[in-house]
Amino acid sequence: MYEDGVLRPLEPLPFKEKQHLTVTVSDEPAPELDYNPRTKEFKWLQDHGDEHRGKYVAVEGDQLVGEGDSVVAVMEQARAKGADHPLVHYLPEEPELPFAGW
Amino acid sequence: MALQLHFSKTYNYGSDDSISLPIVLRVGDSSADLVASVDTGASYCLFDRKYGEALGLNVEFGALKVFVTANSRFEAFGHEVTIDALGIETHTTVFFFADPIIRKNVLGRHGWLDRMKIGIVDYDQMLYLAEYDEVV
Repeated sequence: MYEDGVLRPLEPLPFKEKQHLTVTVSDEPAPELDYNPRTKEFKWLQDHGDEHRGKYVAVEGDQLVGEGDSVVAVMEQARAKGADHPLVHYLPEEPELPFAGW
Repeated sequence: MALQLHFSKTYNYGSDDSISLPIVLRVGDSSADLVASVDTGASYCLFDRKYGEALGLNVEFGALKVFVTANSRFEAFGHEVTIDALGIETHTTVFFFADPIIRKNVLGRHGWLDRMKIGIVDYDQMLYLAEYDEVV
């Protein structure tokens, strides 16, 4: 918490006597991501996935650019709409049960 | 003594049940963008065969390998691909499920985890990643 020109912890820190905390505040901007985190695509899947269960969907940004029964089919639909690198994802017919790994 | 590891990539994987991230599979000029789960219990990287087909691979022409799970077994075919995860590229052999009903995409140990340094703080839903020999 920054208050009256002083940076203070929100709660007392559980440090023992003679321990201290050094906080470095930099005005350097956070580095930009050098990859696409697909944030918009994941949001679209979260918001609209239930409407497309049992299908592969191709999503680019916040737009559905393909839907079908195969990855090839949805990628072709996407390319026809000018989307060359959509995120292609299968939406299971039923919401998935927790996965126990292998 | 504190141990320090340095990572060049961070990713917030959200509240999904699995630790999943967007990746790109590439073969030659073909690519497919998909979501894959990090699975430290998986020996190899395994993918829905339909992504292999979209990359132009004849899936059955790959090296057949039989895998076991806790209560079943399945077959998959190995092919060389490039995996791009968070901008880190790895050329490796991955396997595509023989059974088209299996639609999992998994980043496992051989070919991916063994090329990476990886950190997970699940409380924050944060994944930290770097190439194994990356100098930061």
